Amino acid sequence: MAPYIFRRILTALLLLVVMSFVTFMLMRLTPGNFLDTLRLDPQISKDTLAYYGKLYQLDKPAWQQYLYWLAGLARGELGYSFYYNVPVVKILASRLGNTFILSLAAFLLTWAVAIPLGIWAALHRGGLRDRMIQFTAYAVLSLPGFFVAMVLLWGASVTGWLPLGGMESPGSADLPWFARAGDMLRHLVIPVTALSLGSIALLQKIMRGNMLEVLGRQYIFAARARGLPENRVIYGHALRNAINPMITLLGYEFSALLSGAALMEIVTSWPGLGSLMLTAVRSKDIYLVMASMMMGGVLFVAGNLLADIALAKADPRIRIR
Amino acid sequence: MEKPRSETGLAWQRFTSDRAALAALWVLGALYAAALLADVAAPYSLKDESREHPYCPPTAIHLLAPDGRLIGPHVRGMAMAYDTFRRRVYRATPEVYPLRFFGKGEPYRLLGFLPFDRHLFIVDAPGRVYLLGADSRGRDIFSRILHGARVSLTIGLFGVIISFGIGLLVGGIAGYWGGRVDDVLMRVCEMVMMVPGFYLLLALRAAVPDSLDPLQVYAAIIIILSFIGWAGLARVIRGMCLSLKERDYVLAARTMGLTDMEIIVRHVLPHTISYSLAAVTLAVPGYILGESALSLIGLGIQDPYASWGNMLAEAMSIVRIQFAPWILWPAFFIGITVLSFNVAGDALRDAWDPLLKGRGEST
Amino acid sequence: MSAPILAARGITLTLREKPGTFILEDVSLSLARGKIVGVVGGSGSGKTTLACTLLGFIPDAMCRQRGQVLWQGQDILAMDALALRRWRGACVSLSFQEASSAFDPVFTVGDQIVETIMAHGAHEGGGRARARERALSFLSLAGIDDPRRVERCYPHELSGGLRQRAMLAMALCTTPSVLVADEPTSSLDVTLQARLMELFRKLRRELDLSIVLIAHDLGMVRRLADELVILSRGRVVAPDHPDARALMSAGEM
Repeated sequence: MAPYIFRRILTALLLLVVMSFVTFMLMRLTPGNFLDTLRLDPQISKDTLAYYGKLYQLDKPAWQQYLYWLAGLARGELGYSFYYNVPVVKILASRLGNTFILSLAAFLLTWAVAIPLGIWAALHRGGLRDRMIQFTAYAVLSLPGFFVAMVLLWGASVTGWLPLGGMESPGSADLPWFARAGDMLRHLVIPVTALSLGSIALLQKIMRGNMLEVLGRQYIFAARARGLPENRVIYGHALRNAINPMITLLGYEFSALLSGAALMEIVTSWPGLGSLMLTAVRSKDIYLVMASMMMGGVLFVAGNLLADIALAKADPRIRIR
Repeated sequence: MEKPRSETGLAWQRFTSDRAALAALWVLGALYAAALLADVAAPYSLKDESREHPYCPPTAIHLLAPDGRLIGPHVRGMAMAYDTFRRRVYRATPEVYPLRFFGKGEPYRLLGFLPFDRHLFIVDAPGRVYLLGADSRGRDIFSRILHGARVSLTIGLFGVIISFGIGLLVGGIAGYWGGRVDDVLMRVCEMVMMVPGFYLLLALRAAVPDSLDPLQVYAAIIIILSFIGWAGLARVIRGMCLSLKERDYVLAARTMGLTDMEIIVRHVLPHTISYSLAAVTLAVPGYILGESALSLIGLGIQDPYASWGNMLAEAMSIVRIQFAPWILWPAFFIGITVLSFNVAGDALRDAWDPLLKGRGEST
Repeated sequence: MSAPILAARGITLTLREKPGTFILEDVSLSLARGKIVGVVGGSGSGKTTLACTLLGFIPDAMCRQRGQVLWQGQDILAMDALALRRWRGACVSLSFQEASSAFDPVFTVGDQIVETIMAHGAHEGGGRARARERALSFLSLAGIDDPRRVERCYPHELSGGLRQRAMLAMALCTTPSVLVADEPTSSLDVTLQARLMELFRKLRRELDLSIVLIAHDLGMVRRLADELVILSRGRVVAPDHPDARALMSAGEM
């Protein structure tokens, strides 16, 4: 198993390097950098501009800038945000945490709901409730996630049950930690629900399909022929095999959630990496954009790696390769 | 002796017997037709606005005049006023504006070149007919949805076609040659697929200069979307190529002496096309949603041009949804389009691989 | 002659959707204690369906028009689900043509044998350790030289022959009285076939096992079986039936 994991880590690192390069090239393509906007501001003197230009190595050729940046990464130095006027690391850390919380919560909710739902649908295949679930799932899958968020926000504004976006209520900083956590949870409800709905619909459909396929396999019949209790056949054998292919999805699932989370953050004003990146893109804050991309990439790669490890543990056949 | 049914014929039969799939095709056909003929079907043009009717609710169509006479379909005048809470309300006035079918309205060029000025339904000025209500500038939402359909429905198609082209090339090479080439190409695909889509979308969009005209923005979005989506299709195509290479009938055909070209054309291609069709149909929704998301946050199609996504940007304010919920109509259209593509795509896939559908039928 | 330990009487199965199509028509067989009955037929003769029916399985696509499967005089097809579940694997076991399809690929061979033992209480309350010992002893009995290594293996890690023996061990670990062996040698080469036949003889001796041997190789079955039942297109046919003769000449070769 060790060589397999090692190969996956190598792929991950390679991916990160490629991503950093691509991001950098993209930002270089952008005609105009932050200094151009600063230049238009009559209040800023030429000296200041020159100073910034030198400080952020903007006068060096592109490939050197990239290497400076890469070397800085290794040191933990992520550059400076022109827009927020603080080192990138400072803003990134808190935002990263927020995005992680949102993605993780959505991830857990998705799997906690989709797996049992899919199993249940498979066991009651063709029944009225199964058909209703499939139909609802179809409809839900088709709605854009941001739309669901908007509708939920509207519903919250009408009923007053949940806060309308953001992460914390004003004044929550003064509350004891558990009240603060509770407040944040209430803020999480809408974005997490909107984010997971689509994933749940898709995942339960896949789970149901996997379950049905596995239940048709010869070794399930063999287990029954051995006289094993039906519970053991379904939850011990069928489920175990049906879940395996899902684990390969873990990586992509996490990827999709992280992506969706970015948009959801913007719609529900959740202060995370996604909304940060949007601001950065709009203001052409190059180092911030690159750092956000890289952070997003790191989250992905970590998620995928964990998924790969989980798969190797779950399916002994993988370890041979 | 009866002519043996070809596999294509059987699959087609399976597809057409699925009522949901047929309904989905009709819906899509209607939407695309409406997009094509938006100029006719919509009472107002894209940019037509009315300062006197911001956020006007959908206008009711009456049959009876205020005094009770039956005069046929018409709308009443609308006057804006403020209520005790300083909120906007619209009171009906007694003016009557009959609904004219194929009446004269703002002139346009049908299909881009034929000068025409008839609209499916219209009322004379200063009356306004807002079938689905108006937005902040008094623009008819129904008209803009029809005009916006042109953008939202075609970006998806073009994006998918380009992605498919790239995917066909990459997947075909990987699947056909196998071995190291396959390994390397699939690693690349994996890496591209692993990148967070939305982040990449934003970054790519950031690289595009601001000073582009709307048509160039449209093209740029298509290119960006296809850049993100090709990897998934490439994998599907490669999987297909690999399995087709191994199929018994290919081996049999080879032993019977058919040339590679004959094998490809007569056996491999029909399967490839149909399977690809299903994969492509299922990929389109992703592009439509991608464009909507970009336009929603202001990085996609810009005003005054309409796309279903940028029309929803107004709905980002909860307050607005509260007093003008009709601005959410474009989302419904996005949903219906995506649903139809999903249903049709699933039916296509099931028609070609019925083994997948009838799972759980035990021996 | 003693009463049969397992018998099928007039089993008639038809397709649910086409009641006129018979999969098995009036099939009967009788297995006496300690004997081997060979059921021979070509493909499509219904032998695998018969194997399933002997264990009380009626495939979803079929329905039983008539017939009984009698275990020590009691019709198992009339048993309730719980009783049937207890009976399967404990009184009568099934072995498969493809040993790999008998095992769940994500559990070790040992785990699956232990699970079977514990499900039927054959470990006599001794806990998992006792069940594992028993599993090892049966792996030995099935002719495996290194049961400890095999026990720890996953099904795909074993060679075809070893897997076959492991499957037999799993079928016999609860000391059933009857083994229904569905095409046990069809996926083996000649040498392994002979060794497997030898194993069957040994098991009959040492475990007092009665066997229903289902195959398409008449020649092989004749060497081992005490009695022959020939199936053709769902019916039992006499040895002088043309279909039976076709099987015979195939077997002679």
